Order: sequence, then structure tokens, then C-alpha cells
Amino acid sequence: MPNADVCDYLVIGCCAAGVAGIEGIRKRDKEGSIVVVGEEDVAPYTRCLLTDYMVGEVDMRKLTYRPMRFFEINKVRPMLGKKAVKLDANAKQVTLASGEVLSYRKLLLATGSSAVLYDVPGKELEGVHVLKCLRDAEGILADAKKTKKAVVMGGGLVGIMTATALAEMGLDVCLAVTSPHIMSQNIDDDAAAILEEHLREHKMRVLANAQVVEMIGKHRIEGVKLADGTVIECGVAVSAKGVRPNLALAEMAGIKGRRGILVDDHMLTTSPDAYAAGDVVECKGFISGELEVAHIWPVAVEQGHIAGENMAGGDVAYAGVVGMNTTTFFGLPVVNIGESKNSTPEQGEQFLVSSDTKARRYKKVVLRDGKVVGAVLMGDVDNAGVYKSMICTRVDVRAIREMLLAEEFDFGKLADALLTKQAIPPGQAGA
Amino acid sequence: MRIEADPERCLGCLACEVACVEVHSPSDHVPRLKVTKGIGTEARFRGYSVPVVPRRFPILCRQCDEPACVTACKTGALWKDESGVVRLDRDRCVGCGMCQMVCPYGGVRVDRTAGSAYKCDACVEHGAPACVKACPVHALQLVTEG
Repeated sequence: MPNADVCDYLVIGCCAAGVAGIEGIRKRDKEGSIVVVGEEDVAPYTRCLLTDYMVGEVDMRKLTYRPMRFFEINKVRPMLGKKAVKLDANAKQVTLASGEVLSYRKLLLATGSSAVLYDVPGKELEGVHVLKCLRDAEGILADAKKTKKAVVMGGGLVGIMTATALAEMGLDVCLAVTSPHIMSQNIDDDAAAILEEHLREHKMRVLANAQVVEMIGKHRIEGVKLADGTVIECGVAVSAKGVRPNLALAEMAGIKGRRGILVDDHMLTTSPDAYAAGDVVECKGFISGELEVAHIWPVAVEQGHIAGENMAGGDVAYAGVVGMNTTTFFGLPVVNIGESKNSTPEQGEQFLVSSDTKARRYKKVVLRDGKVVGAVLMGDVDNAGVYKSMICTRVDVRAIREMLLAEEFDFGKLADALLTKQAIPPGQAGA
Repeated sequence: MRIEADPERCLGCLACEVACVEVHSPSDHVPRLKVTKGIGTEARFRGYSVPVVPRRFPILCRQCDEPACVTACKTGALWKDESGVVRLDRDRCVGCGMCQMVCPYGGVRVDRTAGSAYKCDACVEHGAPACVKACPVHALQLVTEG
């Protein structure tokens, strides 16, 4: 059936990857029709700033990183507050919960991920939250006002940021972490020890190796029980156990994936004309070369942009995921880039470390075969981007190894090293 | 439009840094560009080791064609304007440091206490760039084509 209502581009998901997808499409195709479907009936906002929103440092205006007129400017038909429930990749049709059917020529699946709720008895009690969207933040905020004590379960970035926010709101916060140290997926144990001390100094309780086995309470949460029998009282609990990609649509259409939708370096899925980007995908890691899932903002935006350009006839290849995070906890900035979580070097790796616990400074560079593959910076993070660029350019830094930890190491030193051939980009003869 | 720095000419007098703070005061208390030293190792001359005075590298925003900072910005505070300058809306910036983490040149500075980033805007609101005017050896040049 020829259909006048076929849109050129259909974007499912209206957050980082979806919005970047629209911008990518518009970079190459100014006229093609675009429809975007978003579950929340609000302008695109930044999820990573929700904890700042809770504290009141960021208002709704700043949280909204693209205003409603973004759709008008880019000639996009927004269908917000709607959920896509069915995808038929052969017929190229998406069905919404409201019953509407949308036909497309090219599809972008930017369906993101959902927060995982700690799967223990009592998880359905009132006052137990996850933090993923604005509604969650409002819920935590409302409950936090009724109590003085909070427990956050999970020592990843979302967990610590939520705990920090609750502490700044004046609550007694306990951060219960299953792993031996916080941020175990991001930084090594020594860096984590400094951060833990910093958090404790700011009146936060940090419990490592603390497995939550039950959430206690009649209707409302009254406390959480740990594996060793300890009960921590609380009036609000937040589960920050990471996220799970929203794969339902893709699976329905037979699009392949394991932990996420599989995409090639053009962000194309196993189904022709269906692209995917952001939290929902699994694609090649830049350093490891193996399939990785990343749930971070800059990766989602980059992938979305590339997918959009390729949907509109471009030929842009994605170099691969480089994991990275930057966060400030009670004034202490922490950055991790690339392979930064290991506490002991693997075969062929060398760690360069300088550490000052008292001054809350930590700098670690991970070298593999003379090239930088990871970095952890704490305290002084001014040149974080220079370390990231050394990872991305795969430059051989063996000759300037000693300099990499210096406080004054910056782009000037790297540029000079390149000029004097002490740092060698790949493909150039060794000095 | 961008300001290009020539490390071969730069003397490291810091007149640019002073001019930068001056023109952007009182809103800024740190310069948006920074003059830094190179490595300055030893060289060999007729079999003898001689010290080399390190080159000076004025580090500032390059107004990239495809700016990584704009892509990474979580609040939409950064954008590239029609003249090619990467602009920062202080009012939207929260100082999260995302731009700093992805800039290969260290061209963005972030004041985390004030919750804001600082970067060169080629003095678009002040006429000619103050640092270019202040540089006594023309190590900084305003490039407008492309």
C-alpha cells in the first residue's frame, strides 16, 4: 500500500542519542521528514544532571538542553509522551501504545536503558527508588523531605552522585556498596580509597563489601538489611545497580543483540535501514576491539550523530567506544578515561602513579606497549582532554613517560614532544 | 574565525594572558589562554650537550571545525556560531567539565566552585582580540578565512 504518511526518518527515543541523531540527519539532509517518538512529554533534558536538579543547583531551564523550539527549527514532528510498542522491520512500521502506526524509510533506535532495581525482598516498598528520569528525581526529592536518613545501594557514579546530593540536602546518608571499593567499574582501589576518605570527611557513611539482602518495612521502607545481619535505618532508599538496555523493540523485530543491539561501525543494526545508538547498543571498543556496552552521555551523542549522518547518506565510521566520566564530589573533581579500573597491571601494561591522599590528588596513567590506554585523574583534572587525546591518537609516549605524571604536563609538553619526535604517532618510524 | 599561535615566535612574556583577563574582567579572573613551556631537553652540538630553552606554547581554544566540546556539552551551553567561533553561554553552563575532558588541547578551563567553564571567544564582543593586540612579536594572529 503506497502511503503518503511514510516519514523519511523515524527516531525512537528523544534523549542524548535520539537528539544527536536528528542533528546528524539535518547536517546532511535539510528537508527530509523526521518524526521523533519520546516517552516523556517534555523537551529533551540531561539525565546526568538530575542529582544537581535534586539539590537545586540546576533548574528545569538548565536541565533542558534542547528547548521545544529545537523541533521547530529542525523541522521535526515530535510525538512526545508516546511509547513505541511494536516494530516490524520488514514492513518498516512502528506501532505506538496509542495505536498509531508510523511507517519509515530509515529508523534510529535510540531507546536507551532502564535502571535496574535491586532484586531483593521488599523492593516494592514505598520510598524505594531508582534514578533514571525526572519523575524518579521528583519522587526521591519528595521522600527525602519526609526523612532524615537515606541509604543508597550501589557504588557507581549514579550511586555516589545520588548519595552526595542527598547529603547536601542535609540527610544522613549511607552508601552501601557490594564491591570491595566504590566506583569499581571506573577507578582502581587506591584512587577509590582517596575518594572514600573524601566522602567520609563530608559525613557520608561508605560501606564496602555490603551486600543488601532485604529491604525492611511494612508499607514504607524503614531500613535495609545487609548479608552480615546489620540493619541500616532509612526513610528513603535508592537502588543504583546500573542500567539495562531497552531491547524489547529490537528483539521483537529479530534485530540481533546480546547485551545490547549489535551495530557495525556505521551504527547499522543487522536489519537494513535500521540504525541504533546510545545506551541500547553494543559495539566495538576503541581500545579492546571487543564488543562493549557504554552508558555514558558523550558516547551516546557521538554515536547518535554518526548514525544520523549515515542515515542521511553519509559514510562516517565510528572509531569505537572510549569510556570516560567526569564528576565533582563535594568539590573534588574525578576523571576516568579508557582502561582505568584495574588495580594491578595486566600483561604488557605499566602503571604510572602519583598519589597524595591528604591533598586529595591522584594521577594514574596506564601504558600498554608504550601507548596510553587509560587514565585516572583526581584533584587536578585541567588537562584531562590531553590524556584522552593521547589514548585516541595511539601516540607512542615511551620517551616522555616520566613527564606524564608531572603537575605541569599539558598540551605544550605533548606538542613539543611530537615536534622533537619524542612522542611518535602510529605509522611513523621509531626514534 | 580563530586565533592561531606560533610557538616559534612566542617569547613567553604573558602579555596575552594579562590582556585577556583585563578585557574580560570583572567576569573572569583567570585568562582564557595560557602560555606554557615545552619540554626543553638537552641537544647535542659538536659532541657537547647544550641546554635548549623550552619553546613556549600559547594554549587556547582552536575553534575546531567539529568541536568535541560542543558535542559533549550536557547543557547545550556550547555552540559554534556563524563566524566559526565556539561560544559559551555562561548562564547555561554548570561547570561539569565534560568539555574539558574531550578537548585535545586543554583549551577549556573549568572553575568547579563557580560552576562555569572559561574559553576563548576570539573577543567577538570586544572587537579585535585583546591578546592578538597585546602580543609584541605577532605570535598570535587572528585568522578569519574558512
